[in-house]
Amino acid sequence: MSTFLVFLAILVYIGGLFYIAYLAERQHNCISRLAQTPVAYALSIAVYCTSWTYYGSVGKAASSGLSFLTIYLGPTITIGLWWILLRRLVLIKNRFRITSIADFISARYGKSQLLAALVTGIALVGNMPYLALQLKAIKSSFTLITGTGGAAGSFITEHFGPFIVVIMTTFTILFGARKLDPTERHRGMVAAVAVESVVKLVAFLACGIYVCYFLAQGIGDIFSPAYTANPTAAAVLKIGEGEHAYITWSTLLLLSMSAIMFLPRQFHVAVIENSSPRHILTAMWMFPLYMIILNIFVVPIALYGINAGIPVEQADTYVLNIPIIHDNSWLALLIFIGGFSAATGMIMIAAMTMATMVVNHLLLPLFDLATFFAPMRRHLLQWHWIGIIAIISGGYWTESEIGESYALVNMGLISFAAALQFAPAGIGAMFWPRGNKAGAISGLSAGFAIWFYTLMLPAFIKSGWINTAILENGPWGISMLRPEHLLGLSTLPSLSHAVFWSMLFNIGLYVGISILCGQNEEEKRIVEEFHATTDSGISSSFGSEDDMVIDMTEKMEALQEVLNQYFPAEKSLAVLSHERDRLSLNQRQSVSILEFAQFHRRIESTLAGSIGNAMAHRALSRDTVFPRQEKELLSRAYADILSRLNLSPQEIAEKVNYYTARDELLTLHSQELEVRILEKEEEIKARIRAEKALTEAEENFRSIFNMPWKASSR
Amino acid sequence: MSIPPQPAKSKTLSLLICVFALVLFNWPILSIAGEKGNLSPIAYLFAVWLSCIGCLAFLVRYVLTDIPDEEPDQDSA
Repeated sequence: MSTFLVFLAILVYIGGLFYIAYLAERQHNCISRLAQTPVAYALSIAVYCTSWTYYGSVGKAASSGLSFLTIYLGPTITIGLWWILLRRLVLIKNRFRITSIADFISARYGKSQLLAALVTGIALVGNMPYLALQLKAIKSSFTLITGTGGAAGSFITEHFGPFIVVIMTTFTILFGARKLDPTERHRGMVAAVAVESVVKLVAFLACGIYVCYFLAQGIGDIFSPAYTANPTAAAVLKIGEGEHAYITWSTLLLLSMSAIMFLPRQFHVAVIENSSPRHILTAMWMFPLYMIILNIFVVPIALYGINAGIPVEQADTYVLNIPIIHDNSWLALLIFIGGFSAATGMIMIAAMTMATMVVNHLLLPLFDLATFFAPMRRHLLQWHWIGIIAIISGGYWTESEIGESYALVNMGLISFAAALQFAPAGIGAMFWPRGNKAGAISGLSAGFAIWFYTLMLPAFIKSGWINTAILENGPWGISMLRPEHLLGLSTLPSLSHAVFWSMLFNIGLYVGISILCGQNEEEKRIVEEFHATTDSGISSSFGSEDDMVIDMTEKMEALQEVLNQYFPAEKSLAVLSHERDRLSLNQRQSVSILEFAQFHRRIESTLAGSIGNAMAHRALSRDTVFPRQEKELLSRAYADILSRLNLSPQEIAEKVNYYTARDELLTLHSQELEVRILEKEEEIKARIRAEKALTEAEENFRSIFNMPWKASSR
Repeated sequence: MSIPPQPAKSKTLSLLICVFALVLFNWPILSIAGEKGNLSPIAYLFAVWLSCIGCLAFLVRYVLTDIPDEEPDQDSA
């Protein structure tokens, strides 16, 4: 197909996406409303299905049978628990203004910067090559459809890669990082990703229908012995080959079960972009339905490709190659656009979320280290843009340098295994109150180290970058340390082997160290907040005249000084005034320690929305803002409240929940009453209007009888 | 904002669906359909998958209907 025509199609498609995203960002139009529906939310979660699954499913089916299905079956199993898991995450996100998975894990474990940086590092190492894989898919499919075969040709062909990088970067910055607050939802981005999900589904179905009903005699024909008799084709219909088939199957299920929750981009679309927990209900059935529809034709396409004589080594390209071979250029173009959608959706979301993590958890702590860097903190938004540019360009560079290597080609599952390392600390954060910072840091570090040693290192060796002796004999000839047979374990396939050891050490250290080391007061307070998840304010009745010890003028100055490091002065002042107003502290010169603690918590939460929980906590814990004496005073105040109430923290949480629920009911009732009052007012207004109209009509009627001619006739 | 208590029924059903799916999609049940049984593995997997989606739709439509509306995120307002 003509290079120019394909390029034009890309331009038109991207233009359409820009327009949809632009409309979605504006208020009061159909697209904007659609972007906020549960359907758009469910479709945006389909960013899970990247080009790796779009093209790779058929490839995997042709080479390994039905194991490709595990990538979709795993999420279906997890989704059964979404109303418990995801809903909880969304409520925690709203409560703590979480910005990313790194922020979530660090927020629960003492708002630890080290932990946030560790999660960011793992996400970066695990996802950067995966992003490169998407760029590779775009470039390879472009080469295939234009028939350039990688040879130097037109200006478009030679500069296609940089062009894609520029377009993706522009789109991500415009619709994903235009404003500073990363907790704010990006309607334009979500709308674009939802549209891309529809396009890739339609394109893949079009290919399947074409293969089954135009090239073969229907789906029954594809599954007939005519197509399945061939031994290679017969293997497509099997669970897998060899003694390890079921172990690999279960490993893949486990990996995909965690990937749908803990891949940074999935966490972003499912948790950060969620506008209402009720949207989860729609996603719970719609997203699995999407996946099953997407997979209906994978096996038929693989069977047809094998029988058409296309080598199995090229099975990744069957989806695009079959229409090209049969001279169906327009269908090939549609399929190319589908694959392009699958790749770009992932690139945009992954770049956006990773840039947020890198800026909040790697750069900002660095800026904090030296006063020389202090002015940099005032340009957070620009740093986000630089982060996005660096991540997408880095992905492109990786693709250019190691595009054909074993390491990159196998990066999909390696990336899933990296995301699995977040699962113990992530699940523990929600359901295990005893889990602590030391446990989470040790578990994650050990899991990541073993993941790197048993999966990444062998991938580097197989790519030819490191001597193979390490793989065969172990480092320094110690066979017990062979990366794929650690401690002599040689009964497991390499992926299962890596998952087993990394999870054993990750979970073991997380649980063991959490039990051995206790939590400090700060951690205990955060755990209570996480598990009670209540936002009921501290009652002002606890603040008697004698307790009014905090001078608000002084505190406002100190807080403004901190906020000025991250925001323009006007914004800092606006944030402080807004929160002071919300807590009705505007007219007060001095407040109690409990009231100040609540005010402080709200400012921290607002700042966390821009720079993450760990950094916000660090910034606002400085002695100028919250000195040690005041912290001790606060502890004593809490202790005093508990002793006066004679209740355990658990009982207090229950009571607070009861009163919160009662308050919500009363608010609902008052809202209903307000609606009724409005209706009555409308009725009264209508009646007044009717009476007025009646009076006017009567006057008109009278005037007719009082006309001069009437008088003269009399 | 608070997490409203979930009815025990919905929690149990969610867990039940998850556990059933986990069992049906794994060894040894899968091996019955896969190698030793007469069922074609692909038909088995798609049938179980579709049933899971049906169960999830049932859960959402008939069991999780009594969950009260929760406060939306501040940004959605």
